[in-house]
Amino acid sequence: MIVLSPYSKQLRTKKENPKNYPYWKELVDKLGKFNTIVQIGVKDEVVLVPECRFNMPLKEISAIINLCDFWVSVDNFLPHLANKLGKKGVVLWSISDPKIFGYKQNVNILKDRSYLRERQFEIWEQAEYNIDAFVSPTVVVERLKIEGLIK
Amino acid sequence: MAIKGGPTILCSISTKDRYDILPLAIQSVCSQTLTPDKLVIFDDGAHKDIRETDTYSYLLKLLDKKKILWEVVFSNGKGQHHNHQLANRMGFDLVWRLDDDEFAEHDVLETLYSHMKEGVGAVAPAVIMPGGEYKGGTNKLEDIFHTPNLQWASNQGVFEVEHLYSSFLYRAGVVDFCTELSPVAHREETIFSYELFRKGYKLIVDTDVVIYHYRQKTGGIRSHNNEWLYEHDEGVFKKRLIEWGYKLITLNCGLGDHFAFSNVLPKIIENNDKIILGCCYPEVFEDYKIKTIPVGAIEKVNPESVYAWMTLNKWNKSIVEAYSKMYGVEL
Repeated sequence: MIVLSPYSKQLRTKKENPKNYPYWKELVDKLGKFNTIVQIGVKDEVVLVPECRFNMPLKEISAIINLCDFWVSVDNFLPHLANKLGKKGVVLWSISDPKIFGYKQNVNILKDRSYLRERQFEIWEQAEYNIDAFVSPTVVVERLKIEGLIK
Repeated sequence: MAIKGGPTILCSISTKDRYDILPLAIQSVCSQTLTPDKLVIFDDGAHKDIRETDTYSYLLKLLDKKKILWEVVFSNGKGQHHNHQLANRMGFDLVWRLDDDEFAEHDVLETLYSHMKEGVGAVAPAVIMPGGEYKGGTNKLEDIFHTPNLQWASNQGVFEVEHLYSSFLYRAGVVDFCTELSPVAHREETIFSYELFRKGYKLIVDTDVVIYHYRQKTGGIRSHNNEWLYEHDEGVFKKRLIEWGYKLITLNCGLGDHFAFSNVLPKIIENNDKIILGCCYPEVFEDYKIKTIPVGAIEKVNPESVYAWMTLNKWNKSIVEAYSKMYGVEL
């Protein structure tokens, strides 16, 4: 089982969070061939797979993370929680710096450091969404194969 | 009636431009079943000669009749904490401090005194605004930012506490009032009473005995409406909390940041006995032996942020390392 935590917290401006991966649909189609995917998140987020669990208490999220083969997320709360649990996963980065907000044990997929925003600690409402900052689903799948997470 | 051969009791009232309501407080002192040896009124306001008005004239005669010595001190307007400090060092064994807009029921001083055994440093009554009681306080210091004051509710029983508020009877000359505070003297009772507690004295609240607080919109500390005075005093209070061994932590950030912080929390707990942790996601810390409070209750007193810290320090390492450095713990 792969646990998917696809979105970062909604911005107060209601604009798209610059950390949100733009190609989830395509990536889910590809990953779904290898394993069952369970999406977690909060109510009103876009549903990507049939098995969705929204608004779960933290203890239940921890339980499902402990059970899964690996997890995939953007730069949101999940990598921090999984780090506490000692569970490796995959993070799809864009303009935030994995060296600051990530954990070495994870598969941190960053297109290029040139896309990182200059002021890493500003509020996210001040950052622009940049679709070019994300890797394609094909790159993600290839990387997961290299890492041995999928065959 | 005063205590014969027992400890001497001074009643101290600090007032500022509340000549209209002060007589109620004085009348309530006169009506006590146990009267103090002396009443001292510190006038921080207009320094009017109260003897010139009929009401005061009668009240002063009543004090004479009750054999309560009295004195009006024209104080310098530095705030009630300076006045209470004068009272504290006037040579009496006990001081009963009463606010100028309070009216004590007839048995307050006698009941407070009945609790004043050896080892007790101060005893307080319930201090309630008629029509407005707030239950749920503990008067433990760790709860000061997010729970009501225990003295704000009557008829809840007798409690041992860590700090007191407003009016109480205390052992004089043991500790001093904090004169670093501004004229609004925000937290002055808390600091004074907790210092008594730190000296090893018990502090007691008997909520079955009541003082009524006729809270005034003007006069007293409400003569000062500068927010910065309160901020200054909150800063003094924060400094004291740190001196007393409290570690204040404010996590006004996202859920992930809370988890990142949790990597350094065990070391912080190891290094600090007393932690006040204000946060947005208390559930993150459920497995730690630590009490959390809502972040809004602490962020004004302790406005720290890991993001501000990282910006200031041009940080380029991990956020976990930032927390570690910020709170001075080794990972």
